[in-house]
Amino acid sequence: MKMITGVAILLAFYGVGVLASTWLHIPLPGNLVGMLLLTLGLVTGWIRMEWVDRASSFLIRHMMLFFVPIIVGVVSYFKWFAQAPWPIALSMIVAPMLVMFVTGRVVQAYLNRQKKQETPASAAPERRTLDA
Amino acid sequence: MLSQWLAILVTLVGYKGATTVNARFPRVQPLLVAVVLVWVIWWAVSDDWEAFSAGGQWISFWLGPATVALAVPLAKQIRQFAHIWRGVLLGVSAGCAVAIVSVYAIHWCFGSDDILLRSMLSKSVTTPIALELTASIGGVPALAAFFTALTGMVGVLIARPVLKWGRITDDWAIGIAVGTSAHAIGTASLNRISPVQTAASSVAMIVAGVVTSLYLIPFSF
Repeated sequence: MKMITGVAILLAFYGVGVLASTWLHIPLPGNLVGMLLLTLGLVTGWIRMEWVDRASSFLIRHMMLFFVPIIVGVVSYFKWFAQAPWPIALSMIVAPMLVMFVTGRVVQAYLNRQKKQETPASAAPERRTLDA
Repeated sequence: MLSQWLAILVTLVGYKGATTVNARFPRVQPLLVAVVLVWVIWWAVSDDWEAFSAGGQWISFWLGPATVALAVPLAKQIRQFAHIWRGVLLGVSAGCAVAIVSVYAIHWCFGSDDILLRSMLSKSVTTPIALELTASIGGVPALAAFFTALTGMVGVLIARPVLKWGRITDDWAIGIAVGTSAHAIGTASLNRISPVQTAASSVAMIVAGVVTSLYLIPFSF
């Protein structure tokens, strides 16, 4: 029963997201608008976590399945590789590597710095006792 | 009608097969296995790809509610996100710039087709955004769908060595990096590892979509 309620809530937010994105001309697709709205609902407590918890982890666990028909449907575009094999292959392999590396490095560096800034404050009393 | 049911059945069988293989050999990418299995089975039993996509829609529809479902891990981590949002914005903005500049530079070096380049610029962004962006900058949306899907799969395959090489170990940094480069396909692959990574990756997907749309404004003229 919890599963059905949860899926119904997710479908409702998806529907509202799609409608809102087309009617209000929001430059984000409906599924992302729905995700933002549900996040808002959960954070404000208007939607209770236990209503959607089980359904959402079920759908997220099988998210890969939902991609299969889409990817199988575009497999025929592989013939484009013959048109320009090198630029396509390089863009497909080198670009994601660089993006992942740079993004991860920047966030990791930010977090490391943040941790360092927070530790001296808490470690300060210790240092004082050492000085004394 | 019957062929649509058959397409759904074949997709489910392929997915089941892929998860079975993945349980036995965790290093093997399940999405890749599923796509190959489904493609081969359908090619053998029918080879009618229009019927396949008609049936496949019943499955891919659920990508919508599944994306909405990412709100749950996100809401659970919202406090932590509020604490580090500046770093996230910084990282995603840098990553999206790299995505566009690197693809542009590669195509410039080879002097390749302009339409091909325009169909590739938004490939790191989640598919629905990529399709609209590609149309607005004069690329071919169907081709963009292919490049976007392929980028997601490559992103999942390269994640382990790249993260190790870059000494990217924090759950937030990993999630943001994978979400920015491999969009929802990357997000889907993180779920088994950590809910924090899934949340981080969902955030990255949204932010990357917005940031990339802004970056691509000059290309729409």
